[in-house]
Amino acid sequence: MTLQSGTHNSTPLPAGDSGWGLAWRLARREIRGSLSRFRVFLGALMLGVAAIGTVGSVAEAMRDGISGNARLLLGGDIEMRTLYAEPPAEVVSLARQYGTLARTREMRAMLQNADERKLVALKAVDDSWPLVGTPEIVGTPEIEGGASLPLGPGTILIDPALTRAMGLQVGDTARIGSYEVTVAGILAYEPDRSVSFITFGPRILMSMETLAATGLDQPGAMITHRLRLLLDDQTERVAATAALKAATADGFVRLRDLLDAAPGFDVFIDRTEVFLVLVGLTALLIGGLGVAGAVRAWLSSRMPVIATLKCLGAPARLIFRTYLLQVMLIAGAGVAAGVVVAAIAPIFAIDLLSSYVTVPITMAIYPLPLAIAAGFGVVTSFLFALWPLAKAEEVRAANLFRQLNSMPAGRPRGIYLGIAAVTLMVLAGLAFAATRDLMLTASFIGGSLAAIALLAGLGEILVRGLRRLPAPRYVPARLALSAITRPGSPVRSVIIAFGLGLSVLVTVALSQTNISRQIDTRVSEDAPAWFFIDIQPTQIDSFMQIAEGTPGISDVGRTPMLRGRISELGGRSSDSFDMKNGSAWVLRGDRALTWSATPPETGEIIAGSWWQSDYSGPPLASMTAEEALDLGVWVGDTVVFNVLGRRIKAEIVNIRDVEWESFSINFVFVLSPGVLEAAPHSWMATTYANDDAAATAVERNVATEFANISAISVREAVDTAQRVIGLLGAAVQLTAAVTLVAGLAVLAGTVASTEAQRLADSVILKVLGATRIAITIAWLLEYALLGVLAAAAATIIGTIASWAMIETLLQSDFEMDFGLVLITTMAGAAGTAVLGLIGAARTLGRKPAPLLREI
Amino acid sequence: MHTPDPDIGSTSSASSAVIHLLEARLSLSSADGMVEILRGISLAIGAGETVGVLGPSGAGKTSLLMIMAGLESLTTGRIDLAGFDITRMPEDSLAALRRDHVGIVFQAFRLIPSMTAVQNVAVPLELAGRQDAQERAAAALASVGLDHRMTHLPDQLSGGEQQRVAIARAIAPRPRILLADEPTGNLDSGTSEKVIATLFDATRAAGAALVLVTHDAALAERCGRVLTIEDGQITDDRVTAAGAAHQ
Repeated sequence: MTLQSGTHNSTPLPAGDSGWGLAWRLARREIRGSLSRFRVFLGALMLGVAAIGTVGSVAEAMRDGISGNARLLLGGDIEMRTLYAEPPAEVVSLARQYGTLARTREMRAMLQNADERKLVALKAVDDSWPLVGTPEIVGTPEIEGGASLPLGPGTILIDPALTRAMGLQVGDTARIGSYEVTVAGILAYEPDRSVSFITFGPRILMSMETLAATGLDQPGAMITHRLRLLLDDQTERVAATAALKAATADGFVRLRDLLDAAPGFDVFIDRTEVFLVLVGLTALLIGGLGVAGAVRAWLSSRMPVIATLKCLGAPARLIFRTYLLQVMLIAGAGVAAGVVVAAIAPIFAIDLLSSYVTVPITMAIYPLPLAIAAGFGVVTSFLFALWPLAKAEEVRAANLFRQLNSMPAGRPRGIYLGIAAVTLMVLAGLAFAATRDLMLTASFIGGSLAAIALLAGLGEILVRGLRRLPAPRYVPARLALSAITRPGSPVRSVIIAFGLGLSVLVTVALSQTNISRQIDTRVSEDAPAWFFIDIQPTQIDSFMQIAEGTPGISDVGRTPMLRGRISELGGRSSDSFDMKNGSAWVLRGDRALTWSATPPETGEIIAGSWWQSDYSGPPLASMTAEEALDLGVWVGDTVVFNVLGRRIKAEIVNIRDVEWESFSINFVFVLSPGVLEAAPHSWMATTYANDDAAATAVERNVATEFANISAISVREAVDTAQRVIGLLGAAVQLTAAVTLVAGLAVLAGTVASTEAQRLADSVILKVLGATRIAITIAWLLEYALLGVLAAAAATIIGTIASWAMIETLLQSDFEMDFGLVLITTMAGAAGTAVLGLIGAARTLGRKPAPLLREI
Repeated sequence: MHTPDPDIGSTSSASSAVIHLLEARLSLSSADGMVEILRGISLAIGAGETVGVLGPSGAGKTSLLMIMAGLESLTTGRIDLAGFDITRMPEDSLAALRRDHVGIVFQAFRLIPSMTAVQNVAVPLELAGRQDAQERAAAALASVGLDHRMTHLPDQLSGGEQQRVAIARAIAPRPRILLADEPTGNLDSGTSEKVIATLFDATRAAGAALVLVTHDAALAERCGRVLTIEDGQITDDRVTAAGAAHQ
């Protein structure tokens, strides 16, 4: 038979309605039964968006708090700060023309009562202080504007911490220097106290007269002088700032205005925000694997509907749009919930932070961080849903007849890969908008991708290894092994999701153990008992006699010291350096400087050479290697110091490699002799004791003889260091915790995606006589094995990361802690097994008969 | 018994046929290599004709139906449907052809569980962009006696009612071809009778050709023509008593 082409044609028919309108109508009807399948998806999305939005909102609130309270934080409109000496008289008289002035002096000192001596942060104020705000003093009536503080001669106000540490109460007496003072009140709030998480000793407040009477105000004593100006006329702000800047251009006086009310803290907020936003983003990305799993599982369950729609004439594009709309509707709900949480959560976060941050923070809704968080949620959902959605449109209508249950395999069409690439770029753009740090964002995302690739590779190797194992005789074990090694098993995504979190945990735990052990070892081997500071040049010889003469003191080291500011480095002004540079701290404040004819005992010279011991030419400087590298200078470059208003230009002639973690006294800059000796300076000393009794004795002997010398206990300093390391560890562990929570989403998605298969398997197994216990054991083994694999991969990566950190960054010996690794592995396996089983338990309870009719 | 014309292969002339197959062959891959499912089938089915397809399991009945629905592509040969050569037609064009010209009734009903009865029936009409989709869907449901079940979801309907909704969905766009795969396979005999009556009435009212795949010889005999397929080939093609009476 022949078909006549004239009566037939193969012209494609009009595509019909595949527009968004019809897709929306179909999506609205279809979504009814789908919401419950997206609990995990919704939860993961909500958490990620809420975390990013909360961090952004809190950071904005804190920035607002700082800019809104700048005068309070600064204690006026302009602050002029000098070290060792008052600002020059001409600067003071110029400032006076613009408004009211208040002076303060700050230094460290020892507060002593009958039993104890404690390092405190002493602050002496004049009658005009405070220019802005009102201090809160417990035990006295509220101080109204204009009323003077209860700071008569010989009286002090103390930080509440001192009532606990030394048992001091109002009316008690104590000694500062050689002078007896009476506690006149407890200082609960100090208006212009700088914003900081770390403080050097509790505050005591006194009048200028009392400070003079203590005898601590000696040449060379490290005293910070602050002159605060409250403008009479706010319209003169620009003019006053410009005039004072011009008058203080030599660099001796540091000037700050309202725009710079909390300098270090701004950087801290920015960095913390970036860190936490990236943590949130990682969680979202890992959660994204769960999203992809959930969407794939859901679409698998909708395959008959998709095939039916295609049978009824729906084009592929309409299928894609219909299901995309549903996913994005659900994602929209998750994102909206996350945004609501992010708008509310900062209230609680700020409540928690208020004990650390002295800025008054009022909470408001900040649209930008919320919009960025919502953007992350929407874009991540789209990115991870795209692949399964693109495959869904390939479901064939013929499936209705053939009962095929698996989603089409392979890559989606090229156009969808293109859309995925564009979406990735949008995500990177959003990350950049949130962090404003291209390098950090790029390295974080690059690092995460590298870790994921590594985990994926390790997962693949482990799965291939398992495939080579002979099948166990025990049936549940055989079932578990085959479930993991079968093609399309979710083992890879679970290893990536859990492995990432566990890797961070192993890295942190191993590194912390190594660092703590190192510190403990060094404390017992190398650490001095005390650092003594503020030793006057006239006192140093007697000090040495007393210290060396105390029985049980094995060694006493000493070094002269004064502080100066680095105004230029390598021909560049200090202000022109990027303050986010890891070594910018060198340029930020006043640096401790010393001089020496001979090289320090610690620290190897790695470039250049030391000056002759009798050198007396133009100033030369020695600099530490890490800081020199970070700041881009080396031998032959110049550095300009400002010491008490005097400009000292020195050539860097050698570079020292210094171990900052050691307890020896190290300086970034050491100058050649003959430059600084004439300036008022003090000495610092270290004492090494054979035992606790000797340590206590040397401190007591020095205190008895010299009231002005402050002693810093190394034990306390080490405790502080350990606390800081603990805090850092906790911050990084937060990352691990968040990624582990995201890993849960992936596991839950995996359980959901295999539910139909699991149900069918369990029914058949039950029909064949398997008990529920046997099936439970098989599933428990399967998930435990998944956990062990994830933990094994994490152990390998975590150990390598920790080894690299300890050996390379900290340049010390790495020691493996097998117990810790074992605990992590076991915990990972147990956690995965229990959680997986809980998810699968619902399936196990179903009776076989009704299901057999469906299968 | 009617003897098939060696060239035409059916009782209908090629020019009036709505389904026309020429040397249709279908091979599918399996673990043991390629399996030949249909082995050179030629046949023509005319407008308004009712054809029962009988044959043992695995003979190729369902595959033949899938070929006729444009859900499976021929390995070799040619197929015309409603005047269109669909042998190598792109998938979206095939979907549009089904939407406009082919209604399908499945053994397992294949209603969309999240949609009400009337929404299910309206889907192909909406796909065709018809503004009166809801009204026509309601009329189609009324024509199968389910005007009181319009807003019920599939799981609120009995098996027989679900299949009648599926029939209403298949006939609502007034297709030229109606394909039914074991439409009573999931139903008891009483319900089956009601559904079959509905199917024949609806086909007649729509003036469509009906191809009915079944294991039930008695049911096949109610069609005007019966094809028997064995091992991928048509071994018998005859006009039934009902067909003869109609002619």
